[in-house]
Amino acid sequence: MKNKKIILVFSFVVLIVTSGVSFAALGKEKSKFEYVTESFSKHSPAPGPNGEKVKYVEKFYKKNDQLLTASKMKKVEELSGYLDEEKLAKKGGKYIRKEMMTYKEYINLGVDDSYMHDVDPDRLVWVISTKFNKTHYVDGNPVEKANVTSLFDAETGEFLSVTVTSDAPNAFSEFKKGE
Amino acid sequence: MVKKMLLSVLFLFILTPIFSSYSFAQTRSWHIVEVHEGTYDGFWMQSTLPTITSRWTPGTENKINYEFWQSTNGKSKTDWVEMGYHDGYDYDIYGEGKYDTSYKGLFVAKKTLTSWTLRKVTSENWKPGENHTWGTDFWPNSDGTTSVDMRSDGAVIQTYHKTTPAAKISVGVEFGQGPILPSSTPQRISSNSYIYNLHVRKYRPNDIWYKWSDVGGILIWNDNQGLNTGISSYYINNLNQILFQ
Repeated sequence: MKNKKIILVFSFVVLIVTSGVSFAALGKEKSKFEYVTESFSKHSPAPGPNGEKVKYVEKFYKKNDQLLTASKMKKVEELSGYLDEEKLAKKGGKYIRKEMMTYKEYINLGVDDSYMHDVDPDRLVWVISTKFNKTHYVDGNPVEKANVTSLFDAETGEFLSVTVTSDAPNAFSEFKKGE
Repeated sequence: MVKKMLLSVLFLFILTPIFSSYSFAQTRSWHIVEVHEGTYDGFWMQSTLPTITSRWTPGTENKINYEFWQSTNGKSKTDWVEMGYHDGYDYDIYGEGKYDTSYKGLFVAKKTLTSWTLRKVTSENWKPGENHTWGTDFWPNSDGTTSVDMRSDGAVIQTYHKTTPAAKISVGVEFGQGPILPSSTPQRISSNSYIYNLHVRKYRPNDIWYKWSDVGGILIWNDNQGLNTGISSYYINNLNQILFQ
């Protein structure tokens, strides 16, 4: 009888523990990177109109050599067009982020909804986020109170991309194309 | 004395845009051909890149984009994905035009009502005289959203998520010119230049491609906006080809 009780209690404890683990697994959300790469794994690029095969481009910005530590990467001040805080303030801007991270980590920030297939997820990049408090001209178009995030390759200092958003309503009202 | 003052003011007025970090008065003109009929989940084109002379010098807002853009998210003027060959000013860390250096090469971009993102694809190293295929492929995700692949030469370079195809695809040349041009010679692309092998795809996943000449609804739009670009766009139906002449 005593042994039966022990077995019953032990089984109950095992049930509780495994249920907790299962619920924990169910509750774990995918990172944006995981979501994005999973979607690519399920997708085959469509062929062209004459049956031309299409595949994902090869990595151009490969994973950094492990011998190249973060200290060997370009400094933020070396990025082309970088302004110090004082000069940026004269343009109405303020840095929100100046951080080196992997491209995978940048994707997980959720800044923009794009994915560069030629950049290795473990490639180090500089992420520079700036907030402007007045009209800011983006590619020649006025944008009110722009939030700007730029991406640079940390090893070469090469500019990769820029993303602009705004908290102001109708901030992009003048930013149109064509007719 | 008054004459000297007036001349000084006029001198400052002319010089101010040169020494400003940017100028606000870029004029844009377009020479494009559009296909209007239906909503397309794929686009394909091919072209030998023309010689592009943007007449860019430091401080000017001059550029030429040899490009296409496809409307998205049910909107025709504010939302699009874009791909093209750019010759002119560079782009800076803060999203502005970078008017002290130039950029020549491939770019891809996406615009929505609330955002704009641009990628310089220097790794592709595009140059005039090279022949390239370009286009889009919209595809569904398991969560019901749609993504679009920006493709060139048999490879997907960039994917934009959460965007759906809309009804218009515009293909052609965009000129941008600031108020100060370094010489009286207009910006140019070499003519005759062609964009051909124009196709659209409808009703994925059947992957049925249609020539533009079979789809119809072609609209030609040449809008100089006062710039002397020296070219016009034409559509040659029997060759399924856009001609710049």
